[in-house]
Amino acid sequence: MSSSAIAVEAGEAEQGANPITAEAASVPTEYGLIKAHGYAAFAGLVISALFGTVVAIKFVWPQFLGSEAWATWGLLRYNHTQGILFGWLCNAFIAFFYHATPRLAGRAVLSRRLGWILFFVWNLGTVLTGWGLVEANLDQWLFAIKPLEWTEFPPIVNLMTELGLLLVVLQFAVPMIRGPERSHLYVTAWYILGGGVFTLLSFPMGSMLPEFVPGAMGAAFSGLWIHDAVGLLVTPMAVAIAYYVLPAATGRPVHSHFLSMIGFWVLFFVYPLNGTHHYVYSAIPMDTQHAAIAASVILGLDVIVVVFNQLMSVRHNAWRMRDDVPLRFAFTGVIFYLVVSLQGSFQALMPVQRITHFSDWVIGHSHLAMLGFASFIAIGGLLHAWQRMPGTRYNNRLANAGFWLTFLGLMLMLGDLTIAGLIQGYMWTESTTWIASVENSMPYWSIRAVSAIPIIAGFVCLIAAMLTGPELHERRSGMEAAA
Amino acid sequence: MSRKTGIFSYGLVAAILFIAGIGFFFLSTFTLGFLPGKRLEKQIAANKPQAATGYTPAEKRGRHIYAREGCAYCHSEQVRHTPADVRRWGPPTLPWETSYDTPQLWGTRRIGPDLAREAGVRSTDWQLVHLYDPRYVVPKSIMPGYPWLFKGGPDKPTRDAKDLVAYLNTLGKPRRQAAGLGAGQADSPTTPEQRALDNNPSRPRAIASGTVTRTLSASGDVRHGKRLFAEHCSACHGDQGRADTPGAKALEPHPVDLSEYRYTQGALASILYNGVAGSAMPAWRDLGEQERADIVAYVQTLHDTPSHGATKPDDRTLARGAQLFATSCSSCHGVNGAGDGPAAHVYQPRPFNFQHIQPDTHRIMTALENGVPGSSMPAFPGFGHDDRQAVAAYVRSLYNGHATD
Repeated sequence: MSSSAIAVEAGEAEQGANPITAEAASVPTEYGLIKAHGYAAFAGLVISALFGTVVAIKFVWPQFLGSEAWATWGLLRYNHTQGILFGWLCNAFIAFFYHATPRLAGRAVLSRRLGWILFFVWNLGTVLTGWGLVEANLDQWLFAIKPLEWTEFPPIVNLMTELGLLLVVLQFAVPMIRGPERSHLYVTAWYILGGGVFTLLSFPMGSMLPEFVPGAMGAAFSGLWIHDAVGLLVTPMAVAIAYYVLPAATGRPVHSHFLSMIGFWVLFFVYPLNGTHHYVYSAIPMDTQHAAIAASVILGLDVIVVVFNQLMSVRHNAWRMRDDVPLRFAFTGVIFYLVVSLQGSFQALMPVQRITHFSDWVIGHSHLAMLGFASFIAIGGLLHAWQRMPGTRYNNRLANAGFWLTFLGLMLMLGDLTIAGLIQGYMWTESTTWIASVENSMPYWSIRAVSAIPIIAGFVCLIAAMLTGPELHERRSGMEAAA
Repeated sequence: MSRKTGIFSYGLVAAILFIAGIGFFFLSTFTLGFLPGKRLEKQIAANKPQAATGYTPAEKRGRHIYAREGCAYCHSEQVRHTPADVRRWGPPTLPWETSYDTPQLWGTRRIGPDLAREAGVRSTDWQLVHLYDPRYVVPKSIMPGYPWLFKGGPDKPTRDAKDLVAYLNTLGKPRRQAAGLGAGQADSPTTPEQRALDNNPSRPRAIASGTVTRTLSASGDVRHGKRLFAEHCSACHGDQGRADTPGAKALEPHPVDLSEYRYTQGALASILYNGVAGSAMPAWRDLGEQERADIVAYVQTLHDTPSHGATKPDDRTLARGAQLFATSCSSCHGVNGAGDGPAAHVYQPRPFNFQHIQPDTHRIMTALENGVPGSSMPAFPGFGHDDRQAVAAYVRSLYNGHATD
């Protein structure tokens, strides 16, 4: 049960073979689809980041872009978060699955034609139609924005997303189920299978039930989806990539398959039980809130196990991160995973919730999760696949610049929003006017808007890194010379 | 490890798919969704007031606009079980209060204040002006304006804007219904039971404007008061207190021109603390006592007609004024002008208490001639110029600036 393609790949690398040349060339890989989803992912990343930047500017300059219906804060915020989830992260995940699945399953993905259908269902059906309908802001229920966090795209778009999720599961699960590795699947494949099936169920639950279930009951389901989107879609996929990239890039097999199983089962059991911690001190029954808080603390402990297991691959190999930017991205993402999860466990506690909830502290936390943890690992996975793909260019210097710009921008935003959140939280407990908390947040909101500059510059560097630099055969000879 | 074959080869994948993917999904949905849902249903059935009603079609449309414009991403609709929330907005939100809310709009972020009990906190015209351009009435606001819900000005709302405000005016309605109160600002809770149900510390309290319910122990600093006034009051009352701002123009009753009124210190303190129910003047309880004292000190400097040296009206004019006042004004303003006439309590805003508020003569004359739009003060076309002058003289003589200062 513990052998796996990746361990083989990594094991060979350890014996001196180059990780790029040690490709399992026998199983065909859909390079065209990796590229298509890779480009779509980075387009989605930059566009969503620009939506977010406009939202950030409107905090300090409300009349920015004028008072037009399409440019109102609410609509742009929907497009920022939905774009990051569907346009950027999911595209990046899918691109990486096309790289990893043949190597993990020992079998090609289900169908190339299905792959292109999925590509268009996802990018035209979900991302572009979603953005468009949000901007059009129509009245009819089927086409109207839903005020449900993390699933604001209209119901008609949700149908396309659900279809896309189904295609994702078929495309990647079938080779895993039917391939030669089916009873020896590496943990990366577990996360892809588990997260895929779970999201196939939780997405319609979160997107539809609160539309019909009122008040506190609806909030209970909303809370579940807010957390399922992060916990059972983004987290398993990002953890899957980290479990793949760290051993493959360092050449050290995963430290313990037993620990990876513990991590997997505890995560899938406990993470879904976290949802109600978004509504602490609310009208939802207190027992439910307490259960969710307890689950949040257990989750933090589980993440320590997962991260320990992953970081053991980097032990004695930290020097590789100097030149291997994808590895550095994935490694940093794993560190962020630990930090953001422990922060999450901490802020789920009631005395902390009392102050930090509703404030910018949470916005800092969510950026640490989506940008720090998920996006850093997704970038690492995407560049890792890119480096090993024929017909691509890869520029390590630009990738390196992209890393530092994104890293510094995120640190600036995180520190800034955390302080702002504490100030807001404490001001709300004091006898001051509400507007005083807005005024006192202003300097922090300005810094947050400025932090968009290094972050977006970093993204542009990453795109440039994937379009310039040497081609595969040149990279190969270069890496062999280095080895 | 040897490779298993046959039926067991699917065991691992099946475990992942059916236990992790499907099993744990249903487990979480059951424990955190359906299970609390059942308990909530029971709680709601047990506690929901008999009088509770759902939304009218217009309110429902307004709610839909509120939802799709993303209002809930800056304004929560739930008062949490925390002391800070309760101090600002009253008792915590209970399950039955949002039992008609599909989808729920509780929100997870506050940039602006919570709106769970917004009904009665602000007047309808204030809401409209604020939606048209929030900075007309709250200069430091970062809320987006929604001018496309209007036909060119805050006083020309479209149906969308009207419905949206209709929805805002329902926020907190379940508690008001439970307390047996109507929706307007007029209905303040009176009994302790009503107050326990419908106590919103941010709502103006309906008492006669100028009636002293609050005195200040602190003495005010005019310079600091000027700064506070510029920050909090000038959007409606104007930099010099002359109520000549774009925000003021669309509000009815029009914010008072502070250069035309003399107030006792106690009257101003009470107005700041209680607000003026039925007008756009909110309660400023969030400000500290010292800050309110500073504003009071500054506002008192804004009245520009010296009270000394004015010619004293002769006794005949006063007697004529007293007679007219007794027949035409006292049913609302009270026989002694204390704003406590028998009809006073049905009106919003409440009639002025002239013992503590002294309008300038021309202000009284204008009000008698034209009425005060947005209030219950009618025009008195039957009064001639001399009559108006006599009433004005009498009303001004009621002022007793030393009684409470």
